[in-house]
Amino acid sequence: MPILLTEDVATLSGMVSIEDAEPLLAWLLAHDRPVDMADCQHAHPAVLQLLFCAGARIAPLPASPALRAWLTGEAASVVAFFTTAPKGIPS
Amino acid sequence: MMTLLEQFLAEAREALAQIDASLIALERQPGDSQQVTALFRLVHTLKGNSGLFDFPEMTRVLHAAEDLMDAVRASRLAYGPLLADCLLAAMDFVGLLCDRAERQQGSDAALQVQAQELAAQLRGLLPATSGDTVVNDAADAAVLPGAFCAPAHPRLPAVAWQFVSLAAERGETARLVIYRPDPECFFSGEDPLHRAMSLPGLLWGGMRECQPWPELAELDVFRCNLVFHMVSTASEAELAEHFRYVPDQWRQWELALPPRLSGQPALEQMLQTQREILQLDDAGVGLAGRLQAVTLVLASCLHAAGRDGEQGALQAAATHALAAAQAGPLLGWLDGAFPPAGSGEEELALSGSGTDAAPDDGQSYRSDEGGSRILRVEQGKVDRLMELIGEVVVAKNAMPFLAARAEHTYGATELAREIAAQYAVIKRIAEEMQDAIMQVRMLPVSFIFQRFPRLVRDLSRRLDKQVQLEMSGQETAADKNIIEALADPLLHILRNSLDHGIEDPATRQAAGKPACGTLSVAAHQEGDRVNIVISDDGRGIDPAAIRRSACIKGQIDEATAARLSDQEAINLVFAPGFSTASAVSDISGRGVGMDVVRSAVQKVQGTLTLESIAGRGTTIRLSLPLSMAVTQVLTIETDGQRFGVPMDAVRETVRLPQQSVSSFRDSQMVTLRGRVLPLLALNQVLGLTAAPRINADGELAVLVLGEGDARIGLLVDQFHQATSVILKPLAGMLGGLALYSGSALMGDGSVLMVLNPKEMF
Repeated sequence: MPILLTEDVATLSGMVSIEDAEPLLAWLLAHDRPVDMADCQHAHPAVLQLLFCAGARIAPLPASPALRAWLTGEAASVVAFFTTAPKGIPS
Repeated sequence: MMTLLEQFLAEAREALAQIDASLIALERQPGDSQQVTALFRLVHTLKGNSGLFDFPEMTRVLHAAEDLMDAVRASRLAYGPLLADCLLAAMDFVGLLCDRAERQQGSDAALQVQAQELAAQLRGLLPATSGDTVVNDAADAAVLPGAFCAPAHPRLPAVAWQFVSLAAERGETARLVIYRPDPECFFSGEDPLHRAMSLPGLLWGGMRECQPWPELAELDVFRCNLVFHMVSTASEAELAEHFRYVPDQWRQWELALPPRLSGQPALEQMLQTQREILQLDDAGVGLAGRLQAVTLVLASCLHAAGRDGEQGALQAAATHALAAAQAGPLLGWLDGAFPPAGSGEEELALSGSGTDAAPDDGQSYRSDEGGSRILRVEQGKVDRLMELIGEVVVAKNAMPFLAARAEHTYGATELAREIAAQYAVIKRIAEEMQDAIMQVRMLPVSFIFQRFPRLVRDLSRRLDKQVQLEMSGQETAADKNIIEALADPLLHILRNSLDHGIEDPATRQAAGKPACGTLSVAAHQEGDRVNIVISDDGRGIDPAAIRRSACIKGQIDEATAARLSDQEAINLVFAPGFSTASAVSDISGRGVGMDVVRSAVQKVQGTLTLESIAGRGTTIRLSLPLSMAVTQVLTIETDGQRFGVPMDAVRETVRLPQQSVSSFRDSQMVTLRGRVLPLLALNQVLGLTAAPRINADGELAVLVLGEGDARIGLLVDQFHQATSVILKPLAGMLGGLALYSGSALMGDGSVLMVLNPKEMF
């Protein structure tokens, strides 16, 4: 199950698809709680824009470096992240 | 032969010059509606032509300018200096693009941005109620609002710039890619994030909202409101490949590094200020604090210049200075580390070919370098040359007389021979010169025809139609005046045929025609005219539709419409502003077209007729005078005078025995090869009383003239040689003499009157 909604936390894991957007919207409207994306591999942009719009706190961040890179920081503004460490930059 | 592009560039420059002049004239007389129309046509034609080439920026700007001029023409918008400024800036930009095209430089990101800004600026001037201005240009559809017009100075986070600078150090060019997915893309199962994340050469990526976020409850989760910003080292081609399915949803710009401090004025200035502070000689109060402050600034400068390794030396110098309570050691270090300006600190060699290099608004883009290699000479100058060479040809004929005089009057045989030799040389040169000048003026119609295949190909592809172009008579030559005057009308006609005439394959097949339409363009010379026939086998013109459209536009009332014959109704297409097309495109359908075509043809004393059968096709015939064109004439003699007869009309020359002529009432005729040929004595036509001369064998010289199937035999005295002449139409009082096509100056300086064979029938 890619999305698990409880009273305390919304847990996104694996591949979160666009079908999960509506339940998540309902949950976000009702709860001001963090969203756990630790095990999330990829989230459909419909889901992400929902999180940005809600100003949701994402904690913990995805373990997947690529997704984390695109997400981290303040949602709803340009987020800078390293996706691949280029040659010459000590990581 | 000029290539199509060279020709376009030459014409574009000319058009730009005219547009500039018109704009400036309009500023003086804003109410001049003729000027407005002329300006609109210029912009319209230029835009249409630019569509033949891959100049999206040019077409985009011109299209916007055209819309603006259309609004001015329709009095929806008042002409004003602001409008003129914008249009002039746009035309300068087009000029710049022409220069680049000539130097074979492609477009770059800065130009694209520039084009978008100019187009947006022009469209911004359009009145708000311009709902009736239909814009369906592919180029314009691609201009996405908001997020795309961004980065004059892209606001990227520092970390992104860090990647840019690292890429630059590796010698790679970083590009900013902005990808704005279609808001509806989720419905087609797209995952734009995935596309963004898999961008080739991705260094950095981020996303943000396109439109401000609404309240969460009002958010439409299935509409994509994200825009992706990325920095990549991939080439333009790689990027284009990556976004090939969504070509209109992304843009890329080459990123120029923000000004680095080293070698930059900012750093120089800062160092200079520190130097001045250190040089203040008020020892004592505040010195220690000042030294510390300067040390801090210098440390930052070192850091900014990427010379952190020298921090130790700076600190040592600072400690020394503080201990000695003197600025000297620090100043010494400063001069050593950053030699004063002018001593050749190496400049950071990072080129800013991206947006930063774009010229500021109001600056002219027109460069003086790289001028045209094609010399466009004023028509009058060539005409003058032509007249002068005519005089030379006549004048040289005096030399043989001079030689004869030298020999007979003065007995100087040697001198006479030398004069004769010189005469031969001068004659040869004069003739070559005459030929060369004639060549300057003569152009084959292929000059215009050569752009048709591309035009037909491009347009038929764009319109999803199948069209086969057939051309003939390309070698038909005509005077440059005529050919040039024909270029635009013919293009308009072709565009119209493709756009409105030829149907799409499905419609054609339903109508029982082959799916592939045929468009034929044929040129041929007929006497003193060049005829060009353009015909298509398309849907033709429906007189009923024309009547309706003219009524709606208020050009005629319904009663008049009902009275018109079909042919008269069809001729309404020549009314100014007429168009049945409902949408404005960059192909045709603006209501400039047939009226422009006809007025352009009439300007060169040509005629234009249009025949159309609804469902079967349209044929447009243009007949143009040759004017200065070279005409082959047969010279004949009658009653001691020489005349020319255009070779095209000559079917044959025969000598017939006098006895074979039979008379019937007043007319004479002869049976030639089983066909009755009416005879006409040229002397009679010319009002001469002399009878046709009969040669020693008792034969009459008969010149058989043909016009279509009709034949007539003209009785003359003598046939002479055929020759090429420059036929000049008769002017003034003589111009009313229909019997003559014109006159020609012969090599010996005599004037040859050229008959108009059509008058003989």
